[in-house]
Amino acid sequence: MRVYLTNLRKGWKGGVLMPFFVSLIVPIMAGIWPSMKDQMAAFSEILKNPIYQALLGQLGLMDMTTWQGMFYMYVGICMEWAIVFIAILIPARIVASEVDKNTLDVTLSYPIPRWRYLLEKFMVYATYNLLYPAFVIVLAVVSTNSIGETLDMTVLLHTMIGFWLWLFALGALSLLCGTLFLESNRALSASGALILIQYLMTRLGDLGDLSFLKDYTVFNYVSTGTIIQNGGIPMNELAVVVGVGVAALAAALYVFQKRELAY
Amino acid sequence: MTEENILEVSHLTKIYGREMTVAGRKFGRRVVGARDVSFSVRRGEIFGFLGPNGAGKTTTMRAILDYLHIQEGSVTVFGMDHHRDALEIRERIGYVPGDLALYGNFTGEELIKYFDGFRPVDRDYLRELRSVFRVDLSLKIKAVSTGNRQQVGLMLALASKPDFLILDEPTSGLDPLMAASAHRLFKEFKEEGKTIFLSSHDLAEVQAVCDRIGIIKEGEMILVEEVENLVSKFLQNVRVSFTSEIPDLETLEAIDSVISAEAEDEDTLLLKVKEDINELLRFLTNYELDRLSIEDATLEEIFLQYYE
Repeated sequence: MRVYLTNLRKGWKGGVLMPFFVSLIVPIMAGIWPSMKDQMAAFSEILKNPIYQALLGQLGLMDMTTWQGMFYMYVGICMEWAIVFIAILIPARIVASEVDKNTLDVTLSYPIPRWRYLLEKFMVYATYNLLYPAFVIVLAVVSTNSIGETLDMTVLLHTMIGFWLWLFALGALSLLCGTLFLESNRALSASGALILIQYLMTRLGDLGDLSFLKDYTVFNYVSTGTIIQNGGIPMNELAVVVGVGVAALAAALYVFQKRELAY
Repeated sequence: MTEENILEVSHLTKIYGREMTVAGRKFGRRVVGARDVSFSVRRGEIFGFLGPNGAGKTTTMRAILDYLHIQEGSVTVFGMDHHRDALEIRERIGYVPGDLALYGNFTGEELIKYFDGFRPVDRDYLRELRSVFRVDLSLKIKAVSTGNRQQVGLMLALASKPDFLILDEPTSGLDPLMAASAHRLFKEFKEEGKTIFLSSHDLAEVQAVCDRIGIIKEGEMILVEEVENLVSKFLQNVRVSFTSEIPDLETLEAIDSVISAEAEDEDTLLLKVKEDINELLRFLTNYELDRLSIEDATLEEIFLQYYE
């Protein structure tokens, strides 16, 4: 676990600060909620526009006149975008940045299997990603109590687990791109295309006729809307996201173990 | 593999890239990294690996380390297959890559501690290394000079006292004093029965530390020889002064052993002669000589002859 522990310690600044800043959306929303509460009915009418509905997907179906509805809509949008950027930018560069800087040559001359080295580095990413749900949960509990509102804690917990699972599955796909392409620009382009296309397919799928597109995207499963409607994570959807993540991770580890490091 | 050979490279061939022909047009490009390279490194010797830039030195080293997939041939280290037994081999080797890069946000101390977890450091020897290399290990790697980074790289490779060191231009960027210290360490390693395979462009370094050398050119190994023999056997400078008629330069160059002939002045020629000098001497008996001197060429001249 040397690689994992050392990189966990070395990467704490980015690993802690990023989730902290993203989760600040929660107290900000709680701060403005009392003054916005009365205007939310009118705002809900605006959101019934099909374009907004397509942009927001299932989040657009939330009852915006309640704290819970507004909380999940804004946290959902914010987290979705954070996840898109994090999953594209970080895992794809785990290997690629080392290839760019040429640091792998020394490291891999030591007796550590390549797959294990990569797994430990990915675990650092997965561990710090736990802070996103953790910070949001803590700040949601504190903020909700401070404004005298209520939130279903089970749904909150499951929603946050859903976000973490997205980070894991999409991150594993991005990692696979990194091991396939090795060089940063190409790896980032591939992971960006793979993840953004999925996001776009989800949004287009909300337009009705193209709903079949959603079936092929990670964003369609364990989504906030589904969890709220279901009262928790549907087990079949959990299996899909975990399955995609584990398969992509296994493929990335296999590719990195076997591939030639010609650069 | 014989007991004495730590490294055996046999018919190693590595071609980069692919070429395809579609509708009569060629796509892609193949570049020869190494072709049919064979040599061995014996236990307890320092083997110098030389060649011009792009000749295939780094390709060969990276293939030995199993970073590259070879198309043909085999590589064994300690009698083990370099691919199948890569982890076992890596427990016993130290490596300094040519374009050394270390994690910039680590200090030297942190790097030693980090890699100690993979291949344990010999504490006593590390203390000795600290006294030899004068680099501040408390500084982050990104804050130190290229030479100091190279010293940290050497410390990392040497600290576990591996049985076999693979060093790609190990002293590049070091000042002469540090380079001399590194050479001393290499020789001490050798005296302990350990083996070093190093590439270098520094011919003085090669002459100072290497027992044998291999020269690679355009991906092919063109010479493997003891350093001592190389100087005496392979190239000689013959300076001949004639009292009357001077032989035609083209006729001289037609002699197999004569590599080049040039006129120093109107009655003196300078000839570079490879290996057997007798044929030339027989030819010169047809002329009246004023003076004849034969000197061993410098190592640099020998290398240049092979490089060109």
